Formats: sequence, C-alpha cells, structure tokens
Amino acid sequence: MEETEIRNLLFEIFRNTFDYTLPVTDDLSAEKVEKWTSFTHTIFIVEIETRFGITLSLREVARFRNLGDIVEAIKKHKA
Amino acid sequence: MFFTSNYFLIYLLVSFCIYWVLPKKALIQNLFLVFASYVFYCYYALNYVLLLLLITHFSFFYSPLIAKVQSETKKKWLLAFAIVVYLSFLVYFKYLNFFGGIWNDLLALSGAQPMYHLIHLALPLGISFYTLHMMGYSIDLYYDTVDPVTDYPAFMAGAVFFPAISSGPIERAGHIVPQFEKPRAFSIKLLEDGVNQVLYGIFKKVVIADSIGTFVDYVYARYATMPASAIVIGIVGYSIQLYFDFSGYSDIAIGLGKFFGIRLFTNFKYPYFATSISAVWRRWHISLTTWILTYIFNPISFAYRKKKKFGIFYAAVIAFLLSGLWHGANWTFVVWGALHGCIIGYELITVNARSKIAGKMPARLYNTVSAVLTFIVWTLILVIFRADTLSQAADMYRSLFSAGGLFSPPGFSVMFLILAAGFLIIEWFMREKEYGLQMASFPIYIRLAVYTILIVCFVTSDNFYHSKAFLYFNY
Repeated sequence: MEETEIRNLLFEIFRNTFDYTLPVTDDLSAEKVEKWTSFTHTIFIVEIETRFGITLSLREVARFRNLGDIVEAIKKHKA
Repeated sequence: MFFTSNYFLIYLLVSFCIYWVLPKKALIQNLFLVFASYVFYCYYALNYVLLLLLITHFSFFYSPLIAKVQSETKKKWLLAFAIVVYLSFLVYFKYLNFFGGIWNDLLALSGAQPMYHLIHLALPLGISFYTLHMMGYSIDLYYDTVDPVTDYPAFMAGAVFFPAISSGPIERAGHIVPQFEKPRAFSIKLLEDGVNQVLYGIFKKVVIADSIGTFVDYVYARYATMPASAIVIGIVGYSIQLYFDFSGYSDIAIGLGKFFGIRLFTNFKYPYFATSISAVWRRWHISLTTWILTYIFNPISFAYRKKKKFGIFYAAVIAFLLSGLWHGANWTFVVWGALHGCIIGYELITVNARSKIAGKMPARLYNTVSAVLTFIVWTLILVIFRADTLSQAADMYRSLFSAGGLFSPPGFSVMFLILAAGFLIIEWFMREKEYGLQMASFPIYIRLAVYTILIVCFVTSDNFYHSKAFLYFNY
C-alpha cells in the first residue's frame, strides 16, 4: 500500500471518527482536536486496525504523538 | 498552611537569592535545588526523608534496566517488579489499615475472630504524588516514550522539587527533566508571572476556600440535625471550597516553580465551565487524570478494544475507581471514583444521541444547560467524597428531601458565595489564559492595583494566620 493511500484512508477515518472538518495534517495531535480524547482514541485505533487489516501493539500506540506517527506505524505493518 | 508561614517565607527568600546568585550552570543550580528541597522536606517531614531518598533513587538506578533489556518478557517482569516496589510503600503507609479492616470483615462473615490489628501510621508528606511520578517514569521506559535519564542531579531536582513535592502537580520525567537539564536564565517576566500566580493562589485559598470551609465543616459535622436548606448550602459550598482550595494550591505551587525558572504541569483549566463530566476530568487535577488515563485507562481500554464502547466503559470504571482509591483508604472514595467511571462510560455510549439533541438547540443554550447540569451532578457526587462514611452520604442525600425552614450555618455569609461567583465570572472571561488572573498583558497600574488588593484582602483576612491545611495534603 502506498504512503499516499495510507494517509488518505487514515485522514478519512480521522474525519469520520472525530467529525473533523478542518484541514488534516501529519502534525495534528490530540491537544489540537477537542473530540480526540483518551476515551475516543481507542475507538479511533480500533477503526484503524479494522480498515487497514492490521493489529497494533500497545507500545506502538503509546508512542503516537500525532497523525504522522500513525502513518509511519501503518507503513511498517503494510510493508 | 505552610506557604504563608513566616518560616517558609524566609526559606523561600533565601533559596531564591542564593539560586540566582549561583553560576548559571545546570549542575550547580540542580544541586542547590536538591539541597534546598531536602531542607524543606526535612523541616516538615523529617521522619520520612529516608523514604523519599529510597523511592527516588530506586527509580533512577533501577528503571533504566527496563529500557535496556530487549526481551519483551524480561521488560514486563522488570516493570512488574518496579510497580510492586512502588505500590508496596504506598499500600503500607496508606492502605494497610483499610485492607486489614476488609480482611477482618471477611473473617467476621465466616464467624472467625479478627486477625488484623489496626496500627497507627502517619501518611508521609507527598507519598501519593511522588510515588506516581516515579512509577510513571518506569512505565514510560517500558513503553519507550522517554529515554533513560543519565543526569542524576537533573532527575533528582525534578523528583524532589519543593514547590510540587507535597501535593503535586504530578510531574512526568519527559516534561520536567528536560527543563532541569538546561541552565535556567533569570527572567523578570517569568518571576512577575510567578508572583502574580502565587498571590492569586493564596487569595483563592485563604479568602475564599477557608471562609467557605468554616460553614461546610459545620454542616458536615452536624448533618444529622441539619434541614435541607443547610445541607444544600453545605454541599454547594464544598464544591466551591474544594475547587478554590486545590486550584489555589496548584497556582501557588506552579507560581513558585516559576520563581526558579521551572514550568510545572498545568493542573486546572476552569473545570466548572465544562459541559460534561468527561470534560470536567480533562480540566480538574489534570496531572492526576492524565496519569490515570495514560497508565491505567489506556492499557485496559486497549486490551478490551474489541468490545468497543463497552470495553471503554469497563476501562473507565476501573480507572476512576482506582483514582478514587488513590484519594484515600475509604469506601467513600472508591464509590465516588466508580460513579465517575460509570458516568463517563454513559457519556461515551450516548455521545451520538446527545449530539443529535445538541444539534436541535442553539449552541449557547445547550452549552449553558449542559454546564449547569454537569455542575449539579459533580456537586452531588462530591457529597460521597467529603463524607466520612457511605451511610453519612446516604443520610445527607435523604436530608435533601427533608422539611425544615431556612437555616444559616454559623460562618455562612452570602458574601462568600458572591465573592466565589464573582471570581468564577472573572475566570470565565480569562479562560483562554493559563490561570484566572494572568495579567501580563494588562497595563502596569492595573496589575499593581490588583496585587495590592489581593495582598490587603488575604493579610487582613481572619484566615491568614490560621489558615486550614490544604485539603489535598490529606491524599
């Protein structure tokens, strides 16, 4: 899966999960998005795993700081 | 309250002067702060200084082993051992009698004689806070979210920093250690901001919280004979007292940190304007909430993520039940925490339905109604937190429906509630600022006038020289 495809799909999942209508970028983090909380983060992770057909580890998820980190993690799984 | 004692003021002045006269090298500044912080701790809690030394040194020397090993199994065992060590101290000093009492109750149910005998143990100053700080460092190393700290003075200065050692904010190694690894340059702006925040914190605590606390204590001590009107005054008063007391302490601690060029974790962000209980927890005692969410809620919700919202519900109940237990060894705290977990779970499950309702109302109306309802729910559940026993809480809830005329507890004055409401309004208008009275952008004459008013108010307050201990010193 190409990086562009990964990014597009991830951003689509992000917009749907958090009802986010503003521009989405790699450096977007939870502090900047009101609905992206610890409580909703798990729902977001489940959606990512389902749509990409991957299983993330807790250590990987704990290291996510922004959407760019998630893109990189997905790339490793799809490589 | 030691922050307003003469001894502390002398100690602060001397420490501040020496610190900024010393060469601006991180090593020297950190060694001095470690020394000054241990002087502080020894003065207030000499009996437990060895415990502080032990836990902080264990964390510094042992935790890097977790990061060093490659094997996932070895990492888990090393982390598990570290957590057992930290929790052993906490359980011994804080929960031994509580669990011993449960054991005796279970024995009594089976007809056996009690085996555990209560022992008198004082709670070491700050143990609930610095233990979580150290535990968080070990867990961060397991998750590889921080690198092992090799700068011993920087680590120790962050671990025992006196403004935060007694009641937080609960720091994270990734946030505090980098600040101590660099030399701090004196900044008059940061100092003024720190002074401003300390004055505001003292005002909130001494003038508002302690004044309201007088009639709250009266109502809770005599709840069995109080009519509904007094109970209402007591429980609303406690909700306000707790906020001004703890946020006041946090402002003092954070402001004092700025005196030394250090920015501690923000601990409050105007929680009483939140429109849901989940949102309150993102703004109340933020350092504890983020700790609980990062190290307890996230792993549990991740493990149960296939259960989707019900997995999150389960994780929220466990996480907040433990958060409640952290506050104290009493079933009241456990029930209080578990209730919050249930409400947060409810909010998660109903988020779509509530969004639909929100879409049908003007946003301002929906937010106002939500904020009022949230405050009412938060205040009602705080009854359990403040009560000595669950049966006292139940009696107080029953009393809300009792008859009886209007009763004004001794010490109660509407003026205090008006003052508190006034400051909440000020905080509403200042809600984009770091704290409610951050006036860096205001003209100098306004700032000086406000400082003068604050100082005159709390120095002339009856509470200034007889201030009650901060409520969170109990936890």
